[in-house]
Amino acid sequence: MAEPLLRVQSLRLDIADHERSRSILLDVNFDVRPNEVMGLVGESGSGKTLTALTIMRLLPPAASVSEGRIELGGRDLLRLTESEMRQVRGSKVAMIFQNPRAALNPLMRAGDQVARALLLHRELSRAEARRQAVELLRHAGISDAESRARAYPHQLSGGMAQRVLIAMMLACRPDLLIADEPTTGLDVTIQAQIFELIKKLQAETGASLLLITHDLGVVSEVCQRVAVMYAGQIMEQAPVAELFHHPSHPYTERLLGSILRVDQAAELDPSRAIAFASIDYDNPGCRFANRCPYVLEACWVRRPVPRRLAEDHIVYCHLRNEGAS
Amino acid sequence: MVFQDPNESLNPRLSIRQTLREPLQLHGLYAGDQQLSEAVLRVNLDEEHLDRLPHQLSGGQKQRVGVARAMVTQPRLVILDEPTSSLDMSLRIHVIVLLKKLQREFNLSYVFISHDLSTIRHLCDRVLVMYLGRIVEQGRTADVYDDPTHVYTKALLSAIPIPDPAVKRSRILLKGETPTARVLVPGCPLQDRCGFVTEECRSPVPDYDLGNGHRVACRLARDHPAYRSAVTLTPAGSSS
Repeated sequence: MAEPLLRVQSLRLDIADHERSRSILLDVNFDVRPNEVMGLVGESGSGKTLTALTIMRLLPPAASVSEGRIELGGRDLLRLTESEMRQVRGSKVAMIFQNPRAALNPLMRAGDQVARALLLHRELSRAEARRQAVELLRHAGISDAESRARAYPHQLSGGMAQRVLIAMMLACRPDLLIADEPTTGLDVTIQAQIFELIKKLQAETGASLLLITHDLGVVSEVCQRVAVMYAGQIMEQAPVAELFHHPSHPYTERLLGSILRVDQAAELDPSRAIAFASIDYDNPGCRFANRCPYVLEACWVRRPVPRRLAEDHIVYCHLRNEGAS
Repeated sequence: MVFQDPNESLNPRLSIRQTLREPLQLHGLYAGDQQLSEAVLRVNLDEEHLDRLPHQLSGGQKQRVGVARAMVTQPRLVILDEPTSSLDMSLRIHVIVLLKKLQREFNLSYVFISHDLSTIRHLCDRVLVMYLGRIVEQGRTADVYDDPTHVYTKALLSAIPIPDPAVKRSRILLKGETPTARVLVPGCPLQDRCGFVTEECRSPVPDYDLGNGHRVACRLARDHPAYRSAVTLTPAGSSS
């Protein structure tokens, strides 16, 4: 097995809220291998976006990492100084965001923003950077790239703005791309175009992709492996086919049971879906315990140790650890 | 009517009790708090929620208050505008099951507006597919989903990723972006993005009848085995 490109180890992130501080992420472990599409899937509040922002070191001031390592190519990003980190962002790891128009500078032409990403990391003349920016925009599937490069973000549609961000992300050929819900808010037909583009560019450049999504359909079509997050903890990780066919964590099982498929008309069975309840960040054991139909005593007491069920298939659940409890 | 964003559609300064009482009072239907309790219990909330303010509820709970408010006056028709689009997958299924139950219990009719094709498949009896202000395909839900005939419907359905690694499909990608509806051209609204466009598509397209109310505004429907006749739009209904 190849050495992973990114390795996130026992990551813990605390957010101070009034007097007390809460661990929004707790013991998050996963890795991304070279030339791989890894999915990070979860619902609102699962901490998937915060995980990405921690990797990029773009956290809000109230959040702080209290434990763990994030190794990219053997270097722990959490130990870098801010100026070292600035060198890493863009050239080693780059990210695209949920709301593409909000991620662009509204006062700067699209082409100039891409050119700026190039100038930051490479010795280029302005004219050369601008020429390459247009080339990158064309590569990101923007027709008429010359004139679109002169457009301001408000003149671009959501789909176009996301293509501009993709061009920026690729500008310095990073080894790791992070895409956080890249098609939320876009039309279904545009969503399909963007995913085709991301898949194609990932294959072409040989970069690894960490794809954050709530959509299991996207996971199934785009990713090779996937980690399932709930309330800031990893519940299960596995190769995609393995996860869909042999879900081992009750949360994964219920999440799959909540899916409405567009290609099948089936009677809905809410008893197979996840029960109503709010997320319990304070349980010292498994945070899914208050919604889990099979909850055990141990689930309220301590976090289950990871259990390897098969090659690459790891689950955090006391049910799978009989004898240990 | 039930609105899209449950965070924006409830008055933040009114308790749930006040929110639900107001429409009843306006229509002179208010006959005591019993009605309000029934209204919240019906949408799987508790009576204790009546005295909360919207910010004390979760997104899913707020959306159910929206549903309760729309139904408290016992209307016959409820319009729901993307009621599930801001909800997580695990909540969505509960809301759909609830809407189905209420619809059967009170013999309601729904107009369910959504871009979420999976939800429509599981909730609706009939479906109209709109593009740029025109209905391009309509019919019973099963007919439209199992046998999409308009190129737009086909592209739309094929664009949805299927959560099953065993399923591999071919995808019809549309070219370009959704244009604005401001400049309407005669003929098929999809003509500039469609891979099957011909000269014919530039002039007004009739609805082709495939039986059972399945109608398609696309010339390709003529090749469909169930094709019966072309229904030319009346001048009032067409934009040409």
